[in-house]
Amino acid sequence: MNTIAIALSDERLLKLQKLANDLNVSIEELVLIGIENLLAQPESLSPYTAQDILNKNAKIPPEIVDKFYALASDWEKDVAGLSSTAQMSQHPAYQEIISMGTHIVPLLLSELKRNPLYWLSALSAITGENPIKPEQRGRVKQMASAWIDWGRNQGYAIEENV
Amino acid sequence: MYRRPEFEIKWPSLSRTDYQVTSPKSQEYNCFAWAAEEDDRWWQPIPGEQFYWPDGVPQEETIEAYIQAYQTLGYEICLGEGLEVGYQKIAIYVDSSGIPTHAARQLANGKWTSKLGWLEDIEHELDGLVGDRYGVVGQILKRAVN
Repeated sequence: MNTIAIALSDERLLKLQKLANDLNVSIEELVLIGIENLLAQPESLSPYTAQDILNKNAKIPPEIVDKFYALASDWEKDVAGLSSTAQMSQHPAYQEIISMGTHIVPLLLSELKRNPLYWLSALSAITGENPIKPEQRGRVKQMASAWIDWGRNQGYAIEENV
Repeated sequence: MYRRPEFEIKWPSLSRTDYQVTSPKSQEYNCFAWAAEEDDRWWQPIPGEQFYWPDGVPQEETIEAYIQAYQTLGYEICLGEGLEVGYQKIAIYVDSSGIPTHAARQLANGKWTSKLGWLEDIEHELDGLVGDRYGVVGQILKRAVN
């Protein structure tokens, strides 16, 4: 027999625990059932979907992360006090962050938990999506939550404790 | 409340005028919402409908669109910035291209209240925010209040 270790967020562990309790099995048994089902029916997880999720959550190279935070710091310092998000997003540092493209989406989504306003426009520009419901327009925390929900539905792993 | 030296770097006219910080920081509303007496949403006419903008008003960064937005709340164009009994006033600041950059609302004491982006609210003189960052006052609006 072999043993593997996997890292889980508190939120996922709690969900897993609840499901295991509901089924009256241990978490380990529940995970084993999932693995057995996957091995028995590998077609249920299409290669495209699996690869897509892996691609979305590929570890972002440290130099990209460092570049993002350096640009974000410059931008935050320069635009603090501006009233227009249009002006804020026209800043060269913000435009450079947008040009970094889809592989920084998980980083932007995770950062929304700390600063719900900052990356709404960048996410929209990068993804071309708008998950904001009409009644959420302008309600910044709800907008950030809508983006985080969108990210999870798209298969992005969003860090819980940024 | 208190003054903030870093504000006087961003808005040098503040150092020559009277002002005070009147709230904590918040990312949940901006000056355009605060001028409309809202502190729970961010007003911005960005096409794509992510932020709030009054229904039926063009989503464009023009003084005309901002005037129309406040007209939905009963404001009308006005010439003077002085305190008028029975009226509430909003000042819209514009940059050198005439694009709105900021809005402030007049208080009953004749001073103005502004939300500074995602920073704090301040009570200030109208000239205190004139400068490179917000430009100049481009339009005053007023509405009757009870």
